[in-house]
Amino acid sequence: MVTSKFAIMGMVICTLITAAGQIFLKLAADNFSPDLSLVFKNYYLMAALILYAIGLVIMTLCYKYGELSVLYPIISLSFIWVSLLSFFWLGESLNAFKIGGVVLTVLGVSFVGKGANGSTKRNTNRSRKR
Amino acid sequence: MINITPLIAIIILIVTSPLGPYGMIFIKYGTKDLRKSIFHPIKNYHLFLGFFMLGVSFILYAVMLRFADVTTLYPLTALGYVWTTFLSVKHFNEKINIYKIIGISLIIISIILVSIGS
Repeated sequence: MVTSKFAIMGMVICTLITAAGQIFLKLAADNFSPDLSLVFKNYYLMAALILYAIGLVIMTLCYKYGELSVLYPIISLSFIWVSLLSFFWLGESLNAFKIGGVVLTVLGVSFVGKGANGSTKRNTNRSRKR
Repeated sequence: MINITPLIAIIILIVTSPLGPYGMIFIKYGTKDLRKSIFHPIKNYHLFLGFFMLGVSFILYAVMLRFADVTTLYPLTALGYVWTTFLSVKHFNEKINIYKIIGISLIIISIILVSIGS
């Protein structure tokens, strides 16, 4: 199966949405009360759940058009967005380890993408012959 | 309230680590015919079973966070990448090459780095 470029782009958009969902989940946890009537009034929690649901729908559609072993590791890009969003939005600290992690994640996802069936010319030719 | 030590939390998450990746496998299998999966979900249960497994593994992780620090539990998410790669080779005959192995290794190292840093 050849992984379509749109599926890869869709997964990247999916990580952006789920990263925003995680930030809302953190905000929801900060304002969490176990009272069930208040759980549904916790708008941060609702926003997080809606964003997760949208992300899940996009992910499902992308899975149809690509290899799982390529598309799944792309989810790790959400570390980058979460690190950046929690730095700029929540005011959390950013240190050398986190920055190193972000750089390695980018590299890792790039390698996985290079390994995708259809990403290089040789691979494309081979899969066309099939 | 049941008392779960961090070690037991880690063991529970390691034992249940294939749950999320298997959910992904079921979702991918369910997308083969999306129309059937959505409109005839009882006969074509794979998609929704996948969503359910993903949900259970997410809730399990969230519950275990009550008993152990994020920094201890977060590296365990790396197991998911290994499982997903193995399972997609086994169930969908996807090809593994050196690029994918390097890529996943780098992602796993980055997960460890991020959890050291936080």
